[in-house]
Amino acid sequence: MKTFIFFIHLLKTGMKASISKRGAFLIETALMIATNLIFFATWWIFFRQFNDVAGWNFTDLMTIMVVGTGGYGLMQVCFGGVRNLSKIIISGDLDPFMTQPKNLLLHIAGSKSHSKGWGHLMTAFILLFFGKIASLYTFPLIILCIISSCLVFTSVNVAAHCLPFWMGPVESLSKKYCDALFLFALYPTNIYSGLLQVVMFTLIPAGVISYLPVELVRDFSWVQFFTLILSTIVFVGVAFFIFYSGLKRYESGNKFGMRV
Amino acid sequence: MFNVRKYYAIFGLSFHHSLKNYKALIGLSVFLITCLIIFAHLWKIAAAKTGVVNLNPEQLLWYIAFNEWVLISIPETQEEVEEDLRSGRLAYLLPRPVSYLGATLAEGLGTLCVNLLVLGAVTFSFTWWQVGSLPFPPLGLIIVAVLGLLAGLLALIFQMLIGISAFWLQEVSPFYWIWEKLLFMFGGLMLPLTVYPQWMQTVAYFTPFPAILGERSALALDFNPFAVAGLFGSLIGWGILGVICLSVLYRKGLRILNIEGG
Repeated sequence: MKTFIFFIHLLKTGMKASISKRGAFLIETALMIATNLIFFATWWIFFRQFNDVAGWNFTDLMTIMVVGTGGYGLMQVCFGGVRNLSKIIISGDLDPFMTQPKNLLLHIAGSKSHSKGWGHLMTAFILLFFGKIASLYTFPLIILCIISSCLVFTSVNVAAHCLPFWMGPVESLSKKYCDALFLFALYPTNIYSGLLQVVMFTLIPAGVISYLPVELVRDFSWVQFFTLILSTIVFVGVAFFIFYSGLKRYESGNKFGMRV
Repeated sequence: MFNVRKYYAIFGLSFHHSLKNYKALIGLSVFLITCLIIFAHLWKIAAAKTGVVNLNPEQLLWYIAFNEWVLISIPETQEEVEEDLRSGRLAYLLPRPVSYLGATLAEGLGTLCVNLLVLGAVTFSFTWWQVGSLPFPPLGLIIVAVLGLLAGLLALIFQMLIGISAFWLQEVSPFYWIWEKLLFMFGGLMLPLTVYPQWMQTVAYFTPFPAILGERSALALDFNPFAVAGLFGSLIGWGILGVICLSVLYRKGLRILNIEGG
């Protein structure tokens, strides 16, 4: 409970800091909405010409966008610190975090809130309301899927940004991998088969982020519902495991620093 | 001549540094192959089956490989520029007897060249192994290499342009995301350009994106000397425009930096 209260305070501080520069906050939010709408427009054009992709139609694509951008935005707002994890490890900046008697990974994750995350979240809600994809019955389900997608995105980001523990300065690789996950999560994921399908549910879990939510919204089943919940828990568990395994290899930097 | 040697030295340092970081190169190679397989599958389903691509499966894989090769090789220079500006490190870099922009470009070019060489070898070997043949003449391969380098350099210049927007913005990543999405869309990476309405295809040809990705890759498969010359012109033209914008915005930014004290 204490950890939770600490995280909430951390989140409040991070959010206040991220919106403190109003002008920059508004520009970034607007640009993120524009970015997502460019991507959305591409698919809109595609589905206008070809009605479906392997059985999925434009409404399903909107569900992907809502869950994908919503989850990604929520991650950037609540767990934005994970995007800096590789840089923190490479530069030896974990020390100030490690000296505090708090959950280390949660502390790092909550240490930053990115204002652009609000742009992603707003895109999700714009599409949710204007796209009319949610009913009274599916609305709570979509919100749950957004939370699940946020946790999976966070977990994969943690795992990818832990690579420097083993591979040294590979920050660029970690970022490219995480950005690719976001991109693939916004593609129709029902088209994969065989080994590629396994990859899409494990190494690049776009399937967990978008396939399961779309299938749930289309045709709810308890099996898929519990698969989604269980997958999310597994990803979170694996992220914690990778981080703490890597931490054993961490070589402290010799620079002074403090967190206020 | 003296100046060129200084930038060449920076380029050399960056080249060797990137080459020593072989673990990152291995990681990028694995990532490239994964992306290649996924995109090849996506295109096969989403584009080729709908009849909007006039490439056979072998050519399609080469096309995607040439796109991915350059795309993944481009270093994230905008983040380094952003960091220099935000952290105030620029104040320490300015007194050096080299231009900040020139040094950053030389550094980025060093990383780009290593990435292009290593990832090029991986992409070529993997695609050739998958397809079993070269669907273009040997001359096409040389053209692809030269055009790939020019396309990477052009993308680098534009990413530096995004980086220096940090003079005015808290974070440059939203601009980068817009650049990236437009590159994916108009560059013909996400979906083939032929999927879009005619007016969008026309708009795309007035941007640098097809020259960086799709048009360049397609040219390797359908070699045409006039089109190659046109593409060279396009890449160089956009490059000159990018450098002009970069130096103008940089000077404007420096004025703000001076007023605020760095």
